[in-house]
Amino acid sequence: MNNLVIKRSQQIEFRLTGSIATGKRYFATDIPNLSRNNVVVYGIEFFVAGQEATTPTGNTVVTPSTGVVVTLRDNKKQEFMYQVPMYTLIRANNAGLIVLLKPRIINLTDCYVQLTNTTSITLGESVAANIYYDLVD
Amino acid sequence: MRLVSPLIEYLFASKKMKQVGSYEGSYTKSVYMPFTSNALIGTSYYMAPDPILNSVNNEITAIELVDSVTNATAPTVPATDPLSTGQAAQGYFYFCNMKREVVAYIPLYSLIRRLNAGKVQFCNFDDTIVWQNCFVQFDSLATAITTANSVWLRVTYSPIEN
Repeated sequence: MNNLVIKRSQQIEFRLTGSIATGKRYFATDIPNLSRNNVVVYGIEFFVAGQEATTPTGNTVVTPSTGVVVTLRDNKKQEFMYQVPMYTLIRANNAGLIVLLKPRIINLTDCYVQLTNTTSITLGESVAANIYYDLVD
Repeated sequence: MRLVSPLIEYLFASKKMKQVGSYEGSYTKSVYMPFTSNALIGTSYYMAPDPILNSVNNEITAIELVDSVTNATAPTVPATDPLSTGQAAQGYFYFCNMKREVVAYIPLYSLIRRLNAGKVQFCNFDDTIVWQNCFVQFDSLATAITTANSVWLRVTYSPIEN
């Protein structure tokens, strides 16, 4: 059994703005130094409020994990990880294993989450995650 | 004969993946950061200089946050309480290099080994990490962190072979 080693990591978030609705796409917020198709992601981990109360930008993290699905897009607009349940990407639900990905350049602001159930999710909260990455040479 | 996929081979070779339960590092030590006043939101609490962890001759290979269930009391003088899971969920640990650039940051909660089914968090940084440039920051404090608390980190490191 193998687990991820941190080379670089950064917190990303998907802010639930506008309105709360199932199916709507909530895109990752812009992080200027990581939003230029310059990040090769090889691992990702999501958090709920019990694990991370507030994001570094000051937004409350969503409490339930069972009504959110995650889609990651690469720099060719390919949805290489499509509607994966957020629950699956939480480390504590996987016996401490972080989900490893085939390293890919992602287009951060093109990645999004969707709600499948809005119970206990409030407008303005964020879906929080850590990406583990290398910079493109 | 053992077949290894090119992807697995790549992740191993580039040190992005490691076997669980494998060698963590040559040495390990506990580092404590007590608070002289109640913790504040947004304040960077820097690690005290450490001649071993600061050294360019050592690399950090793993890190663990010891919480109050793992060990009820930290051996600081005076004794302090390690962070509870609720307190740990409010903060992050930031790894910084020589130029104080943030190389990685991780929620403290994610570093609690017992909550990861005994799996420690491995690290392998290309940059030289300077311990006294690393810090802890809290972004919410619904559960107060007081002078009775301390951040207890167990850091594993290995000498760099020159």
